[in-house]
Amino acid sequence: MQAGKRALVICRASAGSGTRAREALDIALAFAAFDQPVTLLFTGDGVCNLQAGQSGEATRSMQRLLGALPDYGIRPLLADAQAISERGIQPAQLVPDCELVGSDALAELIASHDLVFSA
Amino acid sequence: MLFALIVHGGPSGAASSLAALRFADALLAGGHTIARVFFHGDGAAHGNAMLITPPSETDIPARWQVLSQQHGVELLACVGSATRRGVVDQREATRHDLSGASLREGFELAGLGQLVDAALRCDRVISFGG
Repeated sequence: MQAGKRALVICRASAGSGTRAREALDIALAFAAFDQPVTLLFTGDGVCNLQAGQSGEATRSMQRLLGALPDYGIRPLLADAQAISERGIQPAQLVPDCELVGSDALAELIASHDLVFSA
Repeated sequence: MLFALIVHGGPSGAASSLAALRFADALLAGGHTIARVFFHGDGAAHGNAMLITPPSETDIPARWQVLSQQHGVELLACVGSATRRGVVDQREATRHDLSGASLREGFELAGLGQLVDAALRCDRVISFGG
């Protein structure tokens, strides 16, 4: 398998809204499983997945998955700072290993990757 | 140029689904090669053989089948996305003790490793929907 491409997966949906969030993370995990460098960015409603201590079946399952990502080498979890702020989430409420990205840095982040997946 | 397409949108009414098909037609008309089309998320429903499209609408899954037959384009539905949506091949049907398969002819179920492989191997990866 050819190497040398950096993948960015953008998660824009919350776990409570259906399967899109889970399916976005599955793409990131697939790249990691094949030892390919992958970055995970949460934006829009996707940042809601990063709020720690949520209840509900879908969100609990998502939190378990997020906790396992560092084991696959996927860290830090990048979060769109503006999306976080717009939803009234405090940085202190986020799950471990999150790193905020300002709006001005998003374009550069996307441009710095060879492959971009949005789900 | 070698392309891979990823279709995230469902076959019923999602503009992205028809856009992907038209883009594929344009690529082939332009002399490019499509290595693989990977149907992910709601897109996996393209592989549902039980799906009936009203006569007034474009039967997008059928159009993909024709494109695949004429140009040898591989149509893969993500196995995780597909089984969540009731799209199973005979192997999955047997494994889950279901009454029968529902995968449309011309489509295959595949793991996300096939998406990774296509992404690394092709010159361009274009996503639709999502």
